[in-house]
Amino acid sequence: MMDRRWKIIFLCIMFVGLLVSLPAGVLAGANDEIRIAVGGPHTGFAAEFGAEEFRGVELALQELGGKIAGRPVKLMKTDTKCDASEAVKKFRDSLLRDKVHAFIGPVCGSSGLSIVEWAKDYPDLPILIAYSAPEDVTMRKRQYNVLRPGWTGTQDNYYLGKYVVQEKGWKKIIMIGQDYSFPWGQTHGFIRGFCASGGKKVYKIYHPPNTEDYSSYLLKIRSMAKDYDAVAMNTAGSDAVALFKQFFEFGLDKQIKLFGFTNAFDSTALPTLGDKAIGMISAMHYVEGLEYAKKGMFSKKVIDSWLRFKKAYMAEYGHVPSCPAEQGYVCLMLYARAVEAVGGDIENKKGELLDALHKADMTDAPRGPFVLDDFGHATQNVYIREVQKHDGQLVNVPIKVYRDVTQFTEYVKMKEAYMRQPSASRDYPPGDCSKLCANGLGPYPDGKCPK
Amino acid sequence: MSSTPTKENQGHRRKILYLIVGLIIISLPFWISRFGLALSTQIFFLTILVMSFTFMARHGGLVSLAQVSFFGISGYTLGILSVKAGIPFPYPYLLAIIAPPITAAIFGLIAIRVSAIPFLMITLAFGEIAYGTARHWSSLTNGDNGINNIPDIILFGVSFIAAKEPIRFYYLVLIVFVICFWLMNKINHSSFGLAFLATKQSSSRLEALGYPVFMIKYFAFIISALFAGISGILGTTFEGTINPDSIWFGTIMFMLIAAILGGVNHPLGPLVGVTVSTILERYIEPLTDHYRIVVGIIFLCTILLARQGIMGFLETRPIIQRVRRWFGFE
Repeated sequence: MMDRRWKIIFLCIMFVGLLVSLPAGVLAGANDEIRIAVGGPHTGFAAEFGAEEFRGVELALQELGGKIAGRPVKLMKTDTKCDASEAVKKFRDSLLRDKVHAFIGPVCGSSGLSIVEWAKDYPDLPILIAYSAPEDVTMRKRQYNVLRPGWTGTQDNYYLGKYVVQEKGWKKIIMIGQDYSFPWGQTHGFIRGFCASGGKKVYKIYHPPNTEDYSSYLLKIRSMAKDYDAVAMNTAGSDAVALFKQFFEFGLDKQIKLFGFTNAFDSTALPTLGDKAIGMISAMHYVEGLEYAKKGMFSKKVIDSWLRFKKAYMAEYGHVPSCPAEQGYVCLMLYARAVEAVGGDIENKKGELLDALHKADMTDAPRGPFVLDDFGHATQNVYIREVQKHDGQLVNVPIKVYRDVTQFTEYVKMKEAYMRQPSASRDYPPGDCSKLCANGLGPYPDGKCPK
Repeated sequence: MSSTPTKENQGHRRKILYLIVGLIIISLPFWISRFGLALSTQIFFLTILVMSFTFMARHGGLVSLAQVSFFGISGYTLGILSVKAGIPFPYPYLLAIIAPPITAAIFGLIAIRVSAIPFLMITLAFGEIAYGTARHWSSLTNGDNGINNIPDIILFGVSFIAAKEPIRFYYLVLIVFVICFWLMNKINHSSFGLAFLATKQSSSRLEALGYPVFMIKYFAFIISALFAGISGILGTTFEGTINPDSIWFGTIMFMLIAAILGGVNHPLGPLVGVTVSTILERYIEPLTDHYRIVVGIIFLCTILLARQGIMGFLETRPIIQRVRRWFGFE
């Protein structure tokens, strides 16, 4: 038993520590400081995405010399844990406690959806969604103050679906992915493009995140391999590495083709996947090997702005930037340009600032030029990428580019009909193309197809 | 002139103390920051949740992790009925109040048969079922996307929107909290509460005396679910969102830490525990990336130095005992 005096001393230290920490958290900086909260997961399976996002924001601020429109900038990292209610909690804390002027983030899908609801109550507050990809954030539930210089799962994967049918001739696909909203959104876009281009069937297998042993799923795939053309890997992070390795251990590579959705062959995962990954196809609006593309695919300006970012990033952090890093970078640049457009007076010109954000010129973005559409979402290139080896390193290289892709993909002329479709979920849209119309949309209850 | 204080004197002192505490709490919105107000609102509704947990743990010796699931069941009932089914205002709330006790009544038939560790495990399993349902039955619960636009409470034409009317919402939560706190104290001191306490100490002896031990525990479980559900309604309305993660591990950990930090055996334990752990979390996190380590160390110190939590520790301090005597508390 410890001496009673020590007990009291210990508790006193704790109490004093608490008191000391109270004002430190509340202390706001100088009056002209611009405070920006950067929200993303810093713990849990998606922590690397949050870390990359923050690095990108930091790099952008460094390039701007730590100032926007002559005002010093303070970045505040906040951990939203890939949890929708945690995101709301942390965003509210940052707004009320730190009195931030703008938000960058969140990263995870469900967090984006809860934040856009939350944003309704603060219509003057600019929120730049970094990596969160459910299309509803800037579509069915759009808010004028919520902008997304990022992507939607549908935007990127629609063209992957189109590509595998048209160029590869694969019409029956087994999709295996993690069971949460991000992979659901990815599958949603893929099925639309796949079915609209003449695909037949997507068999969906969802596994819980953080699965280590895939043998039961792989056995199932083996038993189905004869009837299907390819397997789509819709998994990310450490799960993707485990699934990829076990796929080869089971010898499935000799029985069926493999390709991936956006994050499956992410630049952070490639070194672990090894040379087996060479030749793997995926699609995204971002590609870290843009400079290795065939000559003539991109203008010099596009390649130059990409290389400038890539070199600066590698000099600072020592590795190839991944997509969330670029997204964070672009978010801060976009905000900085809008703030400069209103002369730095963000306190009094809130409406003008939002307008400026919507109009900001991002034709020199590292990922390739983009503009924001009426809903505040990026209209940009989508790349079909192939893993190649250059200078001894595995990189994704664009082999085909679809330009000026909006979040409505090929439904841009029928926005209203598209938005009447149900949101992406675990079961929607169905994997069986015969249940959808020829254009990839679901029929109305009366059986008629949206036109 | 120092004389021994009379009962009457102490009564006056107590009244003044209650008055001061009451005034501080009621006047809180007028001098605290918006952040502090949001924090206090959260503290009050989370205290109701932790109170429902300590009620089971303190009296029955039953560590029920299912409280968080009851929190979620009422939140999801509210979300599904009001957002997905579009039922107008009072009915989703009424059903959300009764849904957790009904669930507890069904689940309790199985769970109450065991106690101690098996009870903990079975309530954990129940939590897993609730979490799994919320996550995978996406046609009902939206799965991982959660239910996001929970409508506002409008009572007698006055709206209680957490973001726009934080002061009103604070008072709403405060009133509910005071009612719950008062009710909980009443239950604790009733013959039912005492019998429930006795089940922890010796259920066989109680059985021999003719008390229906099973029914006592069973009803206590249902009551605790009611309280957890009320907390769930307030929490869901406050956050405006309910999703699988908010009814699983993070919240369970928070509940356990707050309960142990505050002290399970003291009526004020839940309030103190929730206040301390919420403030710690919110103020340490911006300072360091490794705030979990800091919280962990503080938690460890509490376990090592004050096994009965902060309230239990304070109670045994001579100075606190003197203060208590000065006010004439037992």
